[in-house]
Amino acid sequence: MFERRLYLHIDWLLLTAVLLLAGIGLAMIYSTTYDPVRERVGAEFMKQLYAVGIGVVALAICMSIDYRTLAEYSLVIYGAVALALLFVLFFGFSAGGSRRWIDLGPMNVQPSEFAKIALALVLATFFAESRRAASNTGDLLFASGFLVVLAGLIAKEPDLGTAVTLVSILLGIAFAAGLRLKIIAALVALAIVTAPAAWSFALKDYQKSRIQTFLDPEQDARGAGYQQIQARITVGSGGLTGKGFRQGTQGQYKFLPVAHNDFVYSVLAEEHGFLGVLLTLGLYLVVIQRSFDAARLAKDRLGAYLVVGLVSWFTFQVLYNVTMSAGLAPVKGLTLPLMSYGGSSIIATLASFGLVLNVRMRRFTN
Amino acid sequence: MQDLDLMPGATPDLPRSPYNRPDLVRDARDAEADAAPIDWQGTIRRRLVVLASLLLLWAIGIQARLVVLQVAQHDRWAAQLIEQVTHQVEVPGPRGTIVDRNGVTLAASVESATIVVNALAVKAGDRDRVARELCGLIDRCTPADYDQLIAGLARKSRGTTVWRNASPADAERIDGMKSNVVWSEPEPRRYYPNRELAAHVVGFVGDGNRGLEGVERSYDEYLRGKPGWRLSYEDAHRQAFDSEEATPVPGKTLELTLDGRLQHDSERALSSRIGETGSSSGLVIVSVPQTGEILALALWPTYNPNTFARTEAALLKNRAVQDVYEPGSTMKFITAATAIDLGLFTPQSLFNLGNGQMRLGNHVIRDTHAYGTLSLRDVVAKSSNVGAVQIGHRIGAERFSEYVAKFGLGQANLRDFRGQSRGIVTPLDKLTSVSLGSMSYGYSIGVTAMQMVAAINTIANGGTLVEPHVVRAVIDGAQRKAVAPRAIRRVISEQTAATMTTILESVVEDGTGKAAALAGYTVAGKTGTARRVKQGGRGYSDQHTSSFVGYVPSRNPAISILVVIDAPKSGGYYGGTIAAPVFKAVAESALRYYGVAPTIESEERSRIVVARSAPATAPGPAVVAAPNAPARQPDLTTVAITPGKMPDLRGLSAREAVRVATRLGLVVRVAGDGMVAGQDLEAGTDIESGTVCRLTLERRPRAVAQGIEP
Repeated sequence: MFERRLYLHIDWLLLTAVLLLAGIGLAMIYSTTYDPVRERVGAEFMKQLYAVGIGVVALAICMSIDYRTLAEYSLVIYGAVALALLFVLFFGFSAGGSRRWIDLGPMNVQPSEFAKIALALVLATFFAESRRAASNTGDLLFASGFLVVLAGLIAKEPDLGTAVTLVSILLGIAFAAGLRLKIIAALVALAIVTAPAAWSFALKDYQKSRIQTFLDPEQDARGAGYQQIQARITVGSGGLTGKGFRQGTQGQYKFLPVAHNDFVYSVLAEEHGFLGVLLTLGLYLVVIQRSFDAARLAKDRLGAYLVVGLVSWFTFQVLYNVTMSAGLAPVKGLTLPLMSYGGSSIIATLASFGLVLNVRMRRFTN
Repeated sequence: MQDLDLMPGATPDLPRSPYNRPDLVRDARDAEADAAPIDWQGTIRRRLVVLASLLLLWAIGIQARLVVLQVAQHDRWAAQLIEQVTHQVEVPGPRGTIVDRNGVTLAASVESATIVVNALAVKAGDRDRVARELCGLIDRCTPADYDQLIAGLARKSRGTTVWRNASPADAERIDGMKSNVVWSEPEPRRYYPNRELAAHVVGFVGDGNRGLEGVERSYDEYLRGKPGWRLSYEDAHRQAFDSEEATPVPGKTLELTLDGRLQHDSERALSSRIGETGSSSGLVIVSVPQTGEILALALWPTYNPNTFARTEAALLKNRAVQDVYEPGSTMKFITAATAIDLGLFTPQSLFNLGNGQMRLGNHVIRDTHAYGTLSLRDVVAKSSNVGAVQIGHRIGAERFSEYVAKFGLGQANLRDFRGQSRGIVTPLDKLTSVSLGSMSYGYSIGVTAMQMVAAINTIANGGTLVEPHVVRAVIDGAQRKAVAPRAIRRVISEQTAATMTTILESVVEDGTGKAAALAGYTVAGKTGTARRVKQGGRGYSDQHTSSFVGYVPSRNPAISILVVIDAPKSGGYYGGTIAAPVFKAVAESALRYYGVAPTIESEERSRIVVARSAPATAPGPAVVAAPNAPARQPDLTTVAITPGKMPDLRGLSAREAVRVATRLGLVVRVAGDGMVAGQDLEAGTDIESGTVCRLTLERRPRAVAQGIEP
């Protein structure tokens, strides 16, 4: 089933853009974690470097195995991820107030990152098998079952950001599968109606204060609005051309917390200015656009929906993180895929693009 | 699968119904195969276009936002970044020291720190815990300290001062935590080692190194120094990664004209007299008539400047320049001096005082006795009010006003004092015959004690008004800049001044001021007894202000002294009885300290000026010491010599001891070298010419009591 001529159909532009972004990400992590006193590269950089290596292998593997074969095992993969998440809840390694990782000795694995792929796979399979021209409420409810199990387990860690990201996968695939406009309208209406209720019952105080301070960060410049103001200072002080590689101070002097992680884009903006930001944003748009193309050109519904599902969570996180880094969204621990620090994240992201490439290069095969 | 199987099996024989036409069936199947998931590609294509468009809109929006942040607002954010990294702390320059004329410290700065908290870094729920923790770090954390800390933490501010005057050790412990919640900032604290001593002259310093009273205020710019700063670049955890600083310039040292010893004696003499007489308050001012230097300024009640914040505000002000009193009879020396200077009278001019009563407007003024006829000299000596009014009326309003102004009354122009009162002097155009008369004997006029001192100094020094001052020199490092005495104007002729001195001597010799007489010295002075104005109302109460002002030795004055005692309750109320004894006590101290030679050669005693080896300085113009003498020199003092009695020679140099002894006809044998440490004949034993006396000399002088009174 693996044929040499498949290589002719690899989307080299997409692959190049993805690897470039991963490379820029590595450079930014190097810059923020470099210790100028001891003249030493941060441990985070080395970890990320290894993770990118593993990710490239994962990409190659995910590209090689026919996605239709993977789809046959989608339920198995889904089940395995769900079990891993269950395991995390009880035996996981916790840090920063949430329990998200499985301790594997040299590396911690974050199953929630792989849950995104599993969910995209299982939902794409489900919607591809539907015989209806446009998915209806019944389909949506059934598919929601898959979502709720994973999202619920992840929300319990707690990791609300990733749980919400999973929702974007369902919505993306359902939308691409022709979800009736009436239902979309109904969902929007429902969201508007339930928002105040969610505000008073579902959100915790710290989550509320994040949203409140987003609306007016200056009111609590040292408390909840701190990160937001710091993000604006970081980005704004970068100017047009930036301060130069490793010349950023906001991460170095710890004003911007987790600079190499959630705020890597802000650091990019500080060190490389508006031009650097323009370049990376362009690369992200290329990646997303080429993924859309892969979905459009896919040979079958399974492939198309799988790509849409994968690109949905990717796009959602990029949108949110960049918006947040520019100080336009409440601070939420959502990483910037491909660039933020995080081993499981980079591996899962590269694997996802392996699948996207997979679908595209097999559009002419039977 | 079944369907597919059916197709090949369909026979051409079947009727050509639409249902068994294979071509049609296949069309239908094709349609189903192609269109049943009806055009999923079309759907996905259309919908991806929608998504791509939304994405593009977002991208444009975010780019616009970044242009705003990074290009339009760049300067603002870059400035904010610098601001949050840099922390500038002002480092106050150490405040200058204040010393008396002998170099004794009256005010000094000690190292201290202010503790500051950043309340925004502490959550409301954590306040108690944090406060308890910090309280544990400092010595002697009182409940009040704790409350202050809680209040500071409740403030929505990045830097709230919670404690001042923390010790260096406390500050070090707090800074040792490297916390971004609490830290210390240096703030030197003012310390007054002699507590109440000269509190009203020295004053005190408020928050922010700002002098609030006394010379601390009037010389604030000299004492203050120039603050430096420390600029540190700190990360979010307040760890400094770079710093710059500018060293502060310390303030200058202020050397006062005050003599701590005399100040102390004056305060003690005043307070004990106030205690004896049950009066409410009082003051003593000792000055040098020729220069206007204030040697002592004692106010009672007084306060401790170390704890000024807990002191009633009324006690803090320097009442000697800020409060006004009616001088009463002490005013008569001005009246008399004016009349003599104008050539209207001589001391021998006679005044008919009748029955000692006189109508002045609606009032009847009285003398204490019906004197009949008195000379001008006796009018002053016996303090006749009727006589004073006659003199005043003879002078006339215009001339009297002119002289009053020349004497400095109604003027506030001293450089060393803040908040001076001008006093209350009726202007010429409002001066009636009644008020002119009242003024002549010290009513209907308000003066400050300092104005009175300046006026008596004018008589004492030969007719020149000299500005009273308390700052002798400003010392900046090794450079000492002396403050030159300032003569303001000639008020009366030297001749008038000399005449006045003889008149004022008679006040002490056989007038109202006998209690001020000093053995061995001629004293010039004037008593004053004034009824006190009723509190807040018109008219006079039956309380008095008793005062005495004078100088000694009268013909070549070393010092002048003003004593004012308010509302004495027992022991009489005349200035001559209440205030004059204080004059005497203070004058004795001063004459002893400065070794002033006696001016009256009594038969049974004489004095020889010698230098005793106790360190001290003499005021500039005092008789025996050269003006502006170096700060340290042996104290000039006198040895009382009574013919036929052995004097105390201890503490004298060998040369001087021999000089004194030979004058008494003693034969001296000396053993050792240095200062006289012992004598074989006890002081006071009978001697005669040719008596042998052995003196033991030692290198290190023994402490010897100042001055010897037989």
